[in-house]
Amino acid sequence: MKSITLDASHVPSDRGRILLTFWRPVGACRSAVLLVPPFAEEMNKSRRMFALLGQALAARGAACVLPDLFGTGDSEGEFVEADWDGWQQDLGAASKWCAQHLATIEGLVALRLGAALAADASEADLLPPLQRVVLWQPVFDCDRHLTQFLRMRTAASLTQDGRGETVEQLRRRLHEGGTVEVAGYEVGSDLARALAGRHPQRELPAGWRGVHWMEIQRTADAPLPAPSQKIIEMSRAGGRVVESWATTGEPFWASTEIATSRPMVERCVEALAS
Amino acid sequence: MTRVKTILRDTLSLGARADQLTRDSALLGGLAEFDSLAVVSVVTMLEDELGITVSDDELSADVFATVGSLVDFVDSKLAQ
Repeated sequence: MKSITLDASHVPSDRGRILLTFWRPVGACRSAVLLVPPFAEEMNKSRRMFALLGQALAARGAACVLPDLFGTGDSEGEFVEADWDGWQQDLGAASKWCAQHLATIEGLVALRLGAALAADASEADLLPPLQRVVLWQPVFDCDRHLTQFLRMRTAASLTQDGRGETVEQLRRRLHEGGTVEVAGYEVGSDLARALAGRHPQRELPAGWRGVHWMEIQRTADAPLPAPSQKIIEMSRAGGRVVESWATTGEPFWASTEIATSRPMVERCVEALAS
Repeated sequence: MTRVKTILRDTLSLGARADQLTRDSALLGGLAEFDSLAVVSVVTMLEDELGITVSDDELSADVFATVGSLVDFVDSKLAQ
């Protein structure tokens, strides 16, 4: 096992400078893996998982890069200024910087909404062809993801009869150019419109050579959710190599206490090395 | 109904009590665990597993009155 270091760099991107955190072996990097974060608070809850993954990959000689997307974390910009195209550019900027300073990105791990973002960035040729892509609990239905996020704010009024705000009202406000604050995140109109209007996912990108679709389930041996199965089947029909894998445990991107899934980290490291 | 019961069991951590749920079992106002956060968790899980989206208009106290009313709601969404 190699010695590893953790470092970070501010890197110019389309909307402003973004912070890249990276784990790397001391000495030469055999290859590099790009991590693509989930949406808003899910990223905060997932930092530990990404750290475990970064350490494990670096110990095996691969650099692992985690960008704070524009308007999030320690990157420039406010969350309300973020937009979907800008975030794709951020992945491109991270990939370019990585090729110059560490190694060419050959692998990618995307968590939750990061899967949709990575797919769009690949389709826009902002990322190189990827030998291995690992999707953790991938979200491709961005419209539903937005609804679920907004519902965090309207939750309390759901069970009242004279109800307060509805998700529909909040979505209308966003559509008309307004902003909506949910759990400390001010969602801007451009981002909301992009999420609401994103095309339904069909096959996974052609540039993704080998895909590992991984989900955490409530019960062992349960089938993957219907939407996941549909995309996997369409992708296989289109000639993509997609392996699916499931484990049981806490949905770490959502749990109140910080949770991790070591089996998921280990399986991911194996998949990237395969 | 089985799928709804397992979702209720897992989101509300009911354990073996979930096996005793019938169509007539009360949820909202009946089960102590069934608060607004539970509603959000159950709806999210149904959406993610079944690939449906539920609007606030569709979510009334009636839908969550009993296990049976929730099952009927889910069936109607799947039939759409």
